[in-house]
Amino acid sequence: MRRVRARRQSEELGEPEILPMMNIFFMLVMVLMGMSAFLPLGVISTHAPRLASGNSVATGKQGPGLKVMLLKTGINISVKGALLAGDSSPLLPKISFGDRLVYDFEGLKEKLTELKKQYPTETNIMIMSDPDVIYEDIVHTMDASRESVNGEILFPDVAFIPGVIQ
Amino acid sequence: MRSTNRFRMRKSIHSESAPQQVSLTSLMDVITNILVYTIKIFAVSTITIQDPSVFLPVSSSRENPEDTVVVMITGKVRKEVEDNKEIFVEEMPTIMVDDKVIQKVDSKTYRVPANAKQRGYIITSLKQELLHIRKEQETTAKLTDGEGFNGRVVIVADKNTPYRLLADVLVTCGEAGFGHFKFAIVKREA
Repeated sequence: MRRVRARRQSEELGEPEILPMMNIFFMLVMVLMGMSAFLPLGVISTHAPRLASGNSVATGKQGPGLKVMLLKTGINISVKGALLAGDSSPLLPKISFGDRLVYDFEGLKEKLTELKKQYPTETNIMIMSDPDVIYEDIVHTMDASRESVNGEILFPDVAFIPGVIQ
Repeated sequence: MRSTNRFRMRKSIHSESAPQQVSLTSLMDVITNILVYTIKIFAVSTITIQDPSVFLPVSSSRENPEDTVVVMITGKVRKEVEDNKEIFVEEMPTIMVDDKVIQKVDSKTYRVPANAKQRGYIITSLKQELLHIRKEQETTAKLTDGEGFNGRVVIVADKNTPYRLLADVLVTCGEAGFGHFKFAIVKREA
Protein backbone atom coordinates (compact mmCIF):
# COMPACT_ATOMS: atom_id res chain seq x y z
CA MET A 1 0.00 0.00 0.00
CA ARG A 2 2.82 2.37 0.99
CA ARG A 3 4.71 1.49 -2.16
CA VAL A 4 1.67 2.30 -4.31
CA ARG A 5 1.20 5.65 -2.55
CA ALA A 6 4.88 6.53 -2.97
CA ARG A 7 4.72 5.66 -6.67
CA ARG A 8 1.64 7.83 -7.08
CA GLN A 9 3.37 10.76 -5.35
CA SER A 10 6.41 10.46 -7.60
CA GLU A 11 4.15 10.36 -10.66
CA GLU A 12 2.33 13.49 -9.50
CA LEU A 13 5.62 15.35 -8.94
CA GLY A 14 6.78 14.37 -12.42
CA GLU A 15 4.15 16.46 -14.22
CA PRO A 16 5.05 20.17 -14.24
CA GLU A 17 2.30 22.67 -13.56
CA ILE A 18 2.24 24.58 -16.85
CA LEU A 19 -1.20 26.13 -16.56
CA PRO A 20 -0.08 29.31 -14.67
CA MET A 21 2.84 29.73 -17.08
CA MET A 22 0.43 29.41 -19.97
CA ASN A 23 -1.78 32.06 -18.42
CA ILE A 24 1.18 34.43 -18.22
CA PHE A 25 2.16 33.72 -21.84
CA PHE A 26 -1.41 34.25 -22.97
CA MET A 27 -1.61 37.57 -21.13
CA LEU A 28 1.73 38.63 -22.66
CA VAL A 29 0.41 37.85 -26.14
CA MET A 30 -2.72 39.89 -25.42
CA VAL A 31 -0.72 42.85 -24.06
CA LEU A 32 1.69 42.86 -27.01
CA MET A 33 -1.16 42.58 -29.51
CA GLY A 34 -2.89 45.49 -27.83
CA MET A 35 0.25 47.61 -27.87
CA SER A 36 1.18 47.08 -31.49
CA ALA A 37 -0.90 48.12 -34.44
CA PHE A 38 -0.80 45.29 -36.95
CA LEU A 39 -0.23 47.56 -39.88
CA PRO A 40 2.88 47.26 -42.01
CA LEU A 41 4.23 50.69 -41.15
CA GLY A 42 6.98 52.30 -43.18
CA VAL A 43 8.47 55.68 -43.91
CA ILE A 44 9.36 57.86 -46.89
CA SER A 45 12.65 59.68 -46.45
CA THR A 46 12.84 63.25 -47.66
CA HIS A 47 14.81 66.27 -46.68
CA ALA A 48 14.61 70.02 -46.67
CA PRO A 49 16.25 71.41 -49.84
CA ARG A 50 20.01 71.69 -49.68
CA LEU A 51 22.35 73.86 -51.71
CA ALA A 52 23.51 70.88 -53.78
CA SER A 53 19.98 69.66 -54.49
CA GLY A 54 18.50 70.19 -57.95
CA ASN A 55 21.13 72.50 -59.37
CA SER A 56 24.29 70.66 -58.44
CA VAL A 57 26.24 73.61 -57.09
CA ALA A 58 28.71 71.36 -55.28
CA THR A 59 29.82 69.62 -58.48
CA GLY A 60 29.53 72.69 -60.64
CA LYS A 61 27.15 70.84 -63.01
CA GLN A 62 23.82 72.36 -63.92
CA GLY A 63 20.97 69.94 -63.13
CA PRO A 64 17.45 70.19 -64.50
CA GLY A 65 16.09 71.42 -61.13
CA LEU A 66 12.91 69.38 -61.48
CA LYS A 67 9.93 70.63 -59.52
CA VAL A 68 6.48 69.10 -59.18
CA MET A 69 3.81 71.57 -58.11
CA LEU A 70 0.52 70.39 -56.71
CA LEU A 71 -2.10 73.00 -57.48
CA LYS A 72 -5.78 72.99 -56.53
CA THR A 73 -6.70 72.23 -60.12
CA GLY A 74 -3.96 69.77 -61.07
CA ILE A 75 -0.23 69.13 -61.33
CA ASN A 76 2.46 71.26 -62.90
CA ILE A 77 6.08 70.37 -63.62
CA SER A 78 8.94 72.79 -64.05
CA VAL A 79 12.35 72.06 -65.56
CA LYS A 80 15.20 74.56 -65.21
CA GLY A 81 12.71 77.07 -63.84
CA ALA A 82 10.38 76.88 -66.85
CA LEU A 83 6.90 75.38 -66.60
CA LEU A 84 6.30 72.49 -69.01
CA ALA A 85 2.71 73.64 -69.57
CA GLY A 86 3.98 77.01 -70.82
CA ASP A 87 1.71 79.02 -68.51
CA SER A 88 0.37 78.64 -64.94
CA SER A 89 -2.48 76.33 -66.00
CA PRO A 90 -1.91 72.74 -64.85
CA LEU A 91 -0.02 70.38 -67.14
CA LEU A 92 -2.05 67.48 -65.73
CA PRO A 93 -5.53 68.68 -64.74
CA LYS A 94 -7.53 66.72 -62.18
CA ILE A 95 -9.47 63.77 -63.60
CA SER A 96 -12.90 62.55 -62.55
CA PHE A 97 -13.00 59.41 -60.45
CA GLY A 98 -16.57 58.48 -59.62
CA ASP A 99 -18.23 61.62 -58.30
CA ARG A 100 -15.04 63.47 -57.41
CA LEU A 101 -11.96 64.94 -59.05
CA VAL A 102 -8.58 63.40 -58.29
CA TYR A 103 -4.99 64.09 -59.29
CA ASP A 104 -3.68 62.24 -62.35
CA PHE A 105 -0.79 60.38 -60.73
CA GLU A 106 -0.50 57.89 -63.60
CA GLY A 107 -0.08 60.82 -66.00
CA LEU A 108 2.56 62.28 -63.68
CA LYS A 109 4.45 58.98 -63.73
CA GLU A 110 4.42 58.99 -67.54
CA LYS A 111 5.68 62.61 -67.74
CA LEU A 112 8.43 61.89 -65.24
CA THR A 113 9.42 58.72 -67.14
CA GLU A 114 9.87 60.89 -70.26
CA LEU A 115 11.96 63.37 -68.25
CA LYS A 116 14.08 60.54 -66.85
CA LYS A 117 14.99 59.55 -70.43
CA GLN A 118 16.19 63.14 -70.98
CA TYR A 119 18.10 63.31 -67.68
CA PRO A 120 19.10 59.70 -66.90
CA THR A 121 21.65 60.60 -64.20
CA GLU A 122 19.39 63.01 -62.30
CA THR A 123 17.93 61.66 -59.05
CA ASN A 124 16.65 64.82 -57.34
CA ILE A 125 13.18 66.25 -57.50
CA MET A 126 11.40 68.89 -55.43
CA ILE A 127 7.77 68.98 -54.45
CA MET A 128 5.78 72.14 -53.75
CA SER A 129 2.12 72.34 -52.93
CA ASP A 130 -0.95 74.48 -52.54
CA PRO A 131 -1.88 74.96 -48.83
CA ASP A 132 -5.18 73.07 -49.20
CA VAL A 133 -3.72 69.91 -50.74
CA ILE A 134 -3.97 67.01 -48.32
CA TYR A 135 -1.09 64.89 -47.04
CA GLU A 136 -2.36 61.74 -48.80
CA ASP A 137 -2.02 63.42 -52.23
CA ILE A 138 1.48 64.61 -51.35
CA VAL A 139 2.49 61.03 -50.43
CA HIS A 140 1.10 59.76 -53.75
CA THR A 141 3.06 62.45 -55.59
CA MET A 142 6.24 61.30 -53.85
CA ASP A 143 5.42 57.70 -54.85
CA ALA A 144 4.89 58.74 -58.49
CA SER A 145 8.20 60.62 -58.46
CA ARG A 146 10.16 57.63 -57.23
CA GLU A 147 8.94 54.81 -59.47
CA SER A 148 7.58 54.47 -62.99
CA VAL A 149 4.60 52.29 -63.98
CA ASN A 150 7.06 49.51 -64.90
CA GLY A 151 8.85 49.77 -61.56
CA GLU A 152 11.89 51.67 -62.94
CA ILE A 153 13.60 54.07 -60.55
CA LEU A 154 12.87 57.67 -61.55
CA PHE A 155 13.84 60.41 -59.09
CA PRO A 156 14.23 58.78 -55.67
CA ASP A 157 15.76 61.78 -53.85
CA VAL A 158 12.60 63.71 -53.13
CA ALA A 159 13.11 67.05 -51.45
CA PHE A 160 10.07 68.46 -49.81
CA ILE A 161 10.01 72.22 -50.01
CA PRO A 162 8.64 73.60 -46.76
CA GLY A 163 6.80 76.45 -48.36
CA VAL A 164 3.45 76.88 -50.04
CA ILE A 165 2.37 78.01 -53.50
CA GLN A 166 0.45 81.20 -52.88
CA MET B 1 -20.30 -9.56 -5.08
CA ARG B 2 -19.23 -6.54 -3.07
CA SER B 3 -15.77 -6.62 -4.59
CA THR B 4 -17.22 -6.80 -8.10
CA ASN B 5 -19.32 -3.70 -7.41
CA ARG B 6 -16.30 -1.89 -6.02
CA PHE B 7 -14.33 -2.85 -9.13
CA ARG B 8 -17.09 -1.57 -11.39
CA MET B 9 -17.30 1.72 -9.45
CA ARG B 10 -13.54 2.20 -9.63
CA LYS B 11 -13.61 1.44 -13.35
CA SER B 12 -16.41 3.92 -13.97
CA ILE B 13 -14.58 6.64 -12.00
CA HIS B 14 -11.41 6.02 -14.03
CA SER B 15 -13.24 6.02 -17.33
CA GLU B 16 -14.94 9.36 -16.48
CA SER B 17 -11.81 11.05 -15.21
CA ALA B 18 -9.58 9.88 -18.07
CA PRO B 19 -10.85 12.28 -20.78
CA GLN B 20 -10.45 15.25 -18.41
CA GLN B 21 -6.66 14.94 -18.52
CA VAL B 22 -6.02 17.24 -21.46
CA SER B 23 -2.45 17.55 -22.64
CA LEU B 24 -1.51 21.22 -22.43
CA THR B 25 1.94 20.80 -23.90
CA SER B 26 0.90 21.27 -27.53
CA LEU B 27 -1.24 24.28 -26.62
CA MET B 28 1.71 25.68 -24.74
CA ASP B 29 3.85 25.29 -27.87
CA VAL B 30 1.28 27.16 -29.94
CA ILE B 31 1.10 30.03 -27.45
CA THR B 32 4.89 30.21 -27.19
CA ASN B 33 5.14 30.47 -30.99
CA ILE B 34 2.52 33.22 -31.08
CA LEU B 35 4.39 35.06 -28.31
CA VAL B 36 7.72 34.87 -30.16
CA TYR B 37 6.07 36.03 -33.40
CA THR B 38 4.35 38.95 -31.62
CA ILE B 39 7.57 40.02 -29.92
CA LYS B 40 9.36 39.91 -33.29
CA ILE B 41 6.73 42.14 -34.92
CA PHE B 42 6.85 44.45 -31.93
CA ALA B 43 10.64 44.68 -32.18
CA VAL B 44 10.57 45.46 -35.92
CA SER B 45 8.02 48.29 -35.78
CA THR B 46 9.69 51.08 -33.86
CA ILE B 47 6.74 53.42 -34.14
CA THR B 48 3.31 52.60 -32.82
CA ILE B 49 0.20 54.60 -33.57
CA GLN B 50 -2.53 54.25 -31.04
CA ASP B 51 -4.41 57.47 -31.66
CA PRO B 52 -7.78 56.55 -33.24
CA SER B 53 -7.92 59.83 -35.18
CA VAL B 54 -4.76 59.13 -37.20
CA PHE B 55 -5.29 57.36 -40.53
CA LEU B 56 -2.03 57.03 -42.42
CA PRO B 57 -1.83 57.18 -46.23
CA VAL B 58 -0.83 54.07 -48.18
CA SER B 59 2.47 54.23 -50.07
CA SER B 60 4.69 52.04 -52.26
CA SER B 61 7.75 52.86 -50.11
CA ARG B 62 9.49 49.77 -48.63
CA GLU B 63 11.65 51.67 -46.14
CA ASN B 64 11.31 50.59 -42.51
CA PRO B 65 10.75 53.09 -39.72
CA GLU B 66 13.51 53.87 -37.27
CA ASP B 67 13.55 54.81 -33.64
CA THR B 68 13.73 58.59 -33.52
CA VAL B 69 11.74 61.67 -32.52
CA VAL B 70 8.09 61.42 -33.58
CA VAL B 71 6.06 64.51 -34.42
CA MET B 72 2.41 63.58 -34.78
CA ILE B 73 -0.46 65.56 -36.30
CA THR B 74 -3.76 64.00 -35.28
CA GLY B 75 -6.92 64.14 -37.37
CA LYS B 76 -10.18 65.94 -36.69
CA VAL B 77 -12.34 62.82 -36.73
CA ARG B 78 -12.04 59.86 -34.38
CA LYS B 79 -13.56 56.50 -35.30
CA GLU B 80 -15.42 54.65 -32.57
CA VAL B 81 -17.51 51.50 -32.54
CA GLU B 82 -20.81 51.53 -30.67
CA ASP B 83 -23.35 48.69 -30.86
CA ASN B 84 -21.44 47.19 -33.82
CA LYS B 85 -21.77 50.48 -35.69
CA GLU B 86 -18.91 52.74 -36.66
CA ILE B 87 -19.42 56.32 -35.57
CA PHE B 88 -17.20 59.32 -36.21
CA VAL B 89 -16.63 61.77 -33.40
CA GLU B 90 -15.21 65.21 -34.13
CA GLU B 91 -12.23 66.35 -32.14
CA MET B 92 -9.57 69.04 -32.20
CA PRO B 93 -6.43 68.20 -34.21
CA THR B 94 -3.26 68.42 -32.14
CA ILE B 95 0.47 68.46 -32.72
CA MET B 96 2.27 66.01 -30.45
CA VAL B 97 5.92 65.20 -29.88
CA ASP B 98 6.57 61.69 -28.56
CA ASP B 99 2.96 61.41 -27.26
CA LYS B 100 3.13 64.79 -25.49
CA VAL B 101 0.52 67.33 -26.61
CA ILE B 102 2.30 70.47 -27.81
CA GLN B 103 -0.24 72.54 -29.70
CA LYS B 104 -3.97 72.42 -30.44
CA VAL B 105 -5.06 73.37 -33.95
CA ASP B 106 -8.33 74.88 -35.17
CA SER B 107 -10.46 71.94 -36.36
CA LYS B 108 -12.13 73.84 -39.22
CA THR B 109 -9.23 75.71 -40.76
CA TYR B 110 -6.28 73.59 -39.56
CA ARG B 111 -4.54 76.81 -38.57
CA VAL B 112 -2.31 77.29 -35.56
CA PRO B 113 -3.34 80.46 -33.66
CA ALA B 114 -1.32 83.46 -34.85
CA ASN B 115 -0.10 84.23 -31.32
CA ALA B 116 1.47 80.74 -31.13
CA LYS B 117 3.60 81.33 -34.23
CA GLN B 118 6.71 83.27 -35.18
CA ARG B 119 7.51 84.66 -38.63
CA GLY B 120 4.34 83.20 -40.11
CA TYR B 121 5.39 79.54 -40.09
CA ILE B 122 7.31 78.61 -36.93
CA ILE B 123 5.20 77.07 -34.17
CA THR B 124 6.86 78.39 -31.00
CA SER B 125 5.93 75.57 -28.60
CA LEU B 126 6.97 72.88 -31.10
CA LYS B 127 10.31 74.56 -31.75
CA GLN B 128 11.01 74.81 -28.01
CA GLU B 129 10.20 71.13 -27.48
CA LEU B 130 12.37 70.03 -30.42
CA LEU B 131 15.27 72.19 -29.26
CA HIS B 132 14.94 70.60 -25.81
CA ILE B 133 15.04 67.10 -27.38
CA ARG B 134 18.02 68.08 -29.51
CA LYS B 135 19.90 69.28 -26.41
CA GLU B 136 19.07 66.01 -24.62
CA GLN B 137 20.27 63.94 -27.60
CA GLU B 138 23.54 65.88 -27.77
CA THR B 139 24.13 65.52 -24.02
CA THR B 140 23.38 61.77 -24.11
CA ALA B 141 25.73 61.32 -27.06
CA LYS B 142 28.53 63.10 -25.18
CA LEU B 143 28.07 60.94 -22.09
CA THR B 144 27.71 57.61 -23.88
CA ASP B 145 30.01 58.13 -26.88
CA GLY B 146 26.99 57.19 -28.95
CA GLU B 147 25.65 58.64 -32.16
CA GLY B 148 25.17 62.36 -31.79
CA PHE B 149 22.30 64.49 -33.00
CA ASN B 150 21.31 63.27 -36.49
CA GLY B 151 18.49 65.67 -37.33
CA ARG B 152 16.02 62.88 -38.16
CA VAL B 153 12.35 63.23 -37.36
CA VAL B 154 9.42 60.95 -38.14
CA ILE B 155 6.30 62.88 -39.18
CA VAL B 156 3.15 60.92 -38.39
CA ALA B 157 0.22 62.80 -39.88
CA ASP B 158 -3.40 61.97 -40.56
CA LYS B 159 -3.94 61.53 -44.31
CA ASN B 160 -6.37 64.48 -44.46
CA THR B 161 -3.95 66.99 -42.95
CA PRO B 162 -3.66 69.96 -45.31
CA TYR B 163 -0.27 71.08 -46.53
CA ARG B 164 -0.85 74.39 -44.75
CA LEU B 165 -0.31 72.75 -41.35
CA LEU B 166 2.24 70.26 -42.62
CA ALA B 167 4.38 73.11 -44.00
CA ASP B 168 4.29 74.88 -40.61
CA VAL B 169 5.45 71.70 -38.88
CA LEU B 170 8.20 71.05 -41.45
CA VAL B 171 9.51 74.62 -41.29
CA THR B 172 9.53 74.43 -37.48
CA CYS B 173 11.37 71.07 -37.55
CA GLY B 174 13.92 72.50 -39.97
CA GLU B 175 14.34 75.58 -37.79
CA ALA B 176 15.12 73.34 -34.79
CA GLY B 177 17.71 71.44 -36.85
CA PHE B 178 15.56 68.42 -37.74
CA GLY B 179 15.96 68.55 -41.51
CA HIS B 180 15.68 64.84 -42.38
CA PHE B 181 11.97 64.16 -42.59
CA LYS B 182 10.61 60.64 -42.55
CA PHE B 183 6.92 60.52 -43.36
CA ALA B 184 5.11 57.60 -41.75
CA ILE B 185 2.97 55.58 -44.15
CA VAL B 186 1.25 52.22 -44.38
CA LYS B 187 3.11 49.97 -46.81
CA ARG B 188 1.09 48.87 -49.82
CA GLU B 189 0.98 45.10 -50.03
CA ALA B 190 3.05 43.83 -52.94
